Amino acid sequence: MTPLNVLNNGNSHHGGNGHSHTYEHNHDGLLGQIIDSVENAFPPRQTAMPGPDEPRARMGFFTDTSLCIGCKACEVACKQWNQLPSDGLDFRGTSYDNTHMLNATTWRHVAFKEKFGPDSSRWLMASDVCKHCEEAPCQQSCPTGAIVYNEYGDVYVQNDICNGCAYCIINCPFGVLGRADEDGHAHKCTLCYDRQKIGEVPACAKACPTASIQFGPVDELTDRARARVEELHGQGNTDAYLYGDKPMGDYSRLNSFFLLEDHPAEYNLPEHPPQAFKGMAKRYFASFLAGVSLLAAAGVFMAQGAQK
Amino acid sequence: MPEPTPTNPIGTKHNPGSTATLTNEGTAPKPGTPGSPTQQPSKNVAAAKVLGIGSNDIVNLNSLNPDNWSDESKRRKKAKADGEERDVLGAGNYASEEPGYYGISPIKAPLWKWEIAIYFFLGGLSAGAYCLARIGELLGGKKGKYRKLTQAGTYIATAAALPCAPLLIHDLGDPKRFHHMLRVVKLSSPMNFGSWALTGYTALSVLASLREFVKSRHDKGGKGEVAESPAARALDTSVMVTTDIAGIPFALSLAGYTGVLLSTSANPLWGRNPWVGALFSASAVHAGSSSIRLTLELEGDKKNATAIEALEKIDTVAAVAEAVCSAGYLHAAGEMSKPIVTGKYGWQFLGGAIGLGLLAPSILDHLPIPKKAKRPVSILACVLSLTGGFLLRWAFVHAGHDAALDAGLARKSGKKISSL
Repeated sequence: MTPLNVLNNGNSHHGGNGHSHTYEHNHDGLLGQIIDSVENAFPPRQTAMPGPDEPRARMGFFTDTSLCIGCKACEVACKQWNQLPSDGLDFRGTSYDNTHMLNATTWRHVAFKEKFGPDSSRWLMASDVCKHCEEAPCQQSCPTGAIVYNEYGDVYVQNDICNGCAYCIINCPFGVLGRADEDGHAHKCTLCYDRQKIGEVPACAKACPTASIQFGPVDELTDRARARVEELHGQGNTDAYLYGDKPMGDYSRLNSFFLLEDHPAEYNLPEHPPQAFKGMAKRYFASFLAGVSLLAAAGVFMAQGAQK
Repeated sequence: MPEPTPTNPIGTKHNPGSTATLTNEGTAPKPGTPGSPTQQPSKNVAAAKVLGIGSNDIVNLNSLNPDNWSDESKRRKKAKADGEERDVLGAGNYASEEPGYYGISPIKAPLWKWEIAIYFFLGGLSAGAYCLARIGELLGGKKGKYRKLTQAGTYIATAAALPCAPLLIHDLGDPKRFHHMLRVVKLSSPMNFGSWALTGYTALSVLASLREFVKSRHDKGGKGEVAESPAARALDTSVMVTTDIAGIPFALSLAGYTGVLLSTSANPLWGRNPWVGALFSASAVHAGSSSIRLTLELEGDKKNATAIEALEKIDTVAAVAEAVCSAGYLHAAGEMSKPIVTGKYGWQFLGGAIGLGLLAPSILDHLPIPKKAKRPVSILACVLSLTGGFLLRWAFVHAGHDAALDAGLARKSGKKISSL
């Protein structure tokens, strides 16, 4: 079964089946066959009708970095499934990280942090990904409507609409989005929307050998993650905490959240992700106030001159 | 350098019989070939030896050349040479220092370059000139004192508005999809708002210029009176009302949204700073006024004296407003303003935009000089104002790159931006 057929069948429970029209035999003989074929030449167009909106759970990732072994299977699985080009082996001489950051063609990034302290040494590894923010500034900034929330509550860039204006790139406080040189469009993790549609888990979560990447309804994942933190605390790992399961300042919850064991900056995550759109009305007001008052002053000066 | 051989050229323990080759080893030119990079591969091979990479590993050897590594690893190399052993073990230096990820910024740099800086300047100048032209027409009275001001302002506005859309389209990653900007009305996105503002404004500005052109062909007295049929007068009035009532709000939107666009971002330099929009709006009026004054001064008609005097006052007031907004900006940004107050962009912003663009023209315009010398000094003041206005946009757009790539600044910016 091709993926397209799977998609069609996946939708068929909503009602119409896209291929339900049957060939009707009403006449006999050779002439009858010709008449039949003419009558059946233009079948009534039947498209699968979307059913009533079912209440859906918001889906997301829980990335438990305490379980990450840095195998990069998630990076590879992501590139394989989403057909993303290679980043090359650009080691910077820091650690085993050759992709350095999330980008248009890197939707999973395994960070390696080697920490050698005076008393103890540790190696932090974490698989970073788009946070699928509940209130995503990239979505709000997108001028073409290419970035939308899909039915799973996740942030999705529609590749056939994006025109590469690059405004989302400076609005993401996590530096997730990038613009690909290949097509000039912005790209990021889709949370394997196509796989979700057919009931599969995202490729990275499927490939993760240690269950460091877990996929599921966000509420369920949050409960599981909180239990995991308690478990780790009970084992003496009191550094473990969750990042993004709750709003951070004026920034919303993240549908894709993390269990970390050190300062967020060690994983290149911001401690205070800024919500760029807060206070935009105030900034517009200040801007227009400056313009209007200067034009009013100009009017006064010109009226004075005209009276002379 | 030895000839590359089919067997393992760098003699490591990995799969000696493998036929795969290192990516730039197999094509290495013979020594002595003109322009052959003999130095580079040998360094790469040496580095590959150190790292134990064999001939079966397909790697980009350039990345193994220590000369191509980041500043961070150069710093480590230096630290090793200085005998700081712990520093070269790995990220040990971070144990006692600020947390971070190998000097890599957590956010992305803007991709906007010269097109956007020029667009911000031209768009602002255009909108400023347009509004002043409209106000001049309304307040010129029956003597037509601001006739030339209106004419020059309208033409300047259109001339500056027309390159704006091509500049923006050129900047897009996929220029053929420029019209996608207008496939939705999503005014909550400053860029969508700006796209509509620019579209509407450009159309109205062209309409105003067409009207101006028709008028100048029929205007015998030079006072803006068109003694034609009642129908022609009615058409003229309706176009005027359109270009005033719709045109001025569109122009203000165009002048005002650019700063808001920058400040609605997670960039350390711009993020949520309420003064950027006001600064750009004030700069737009300043540039518009200076460009009209420059045109009138160059024309050298004595009839323009009243208009020039009014424009001079507008320039001064706008310069004061810009100075206040700049001070407000710097105060609000605090430490985050570092990329625009130091280095190259420090010169462009503080020296160029503020020094040359605000202070110098304001002083020149108020110097007690004889009337004969007034005109060249006024021309100089206008040119300086326009240069400053351009440098303001140039520095603001480009310093945003440095701000985003400065990992330390970007890391601290989240808290600062959230507080604004």
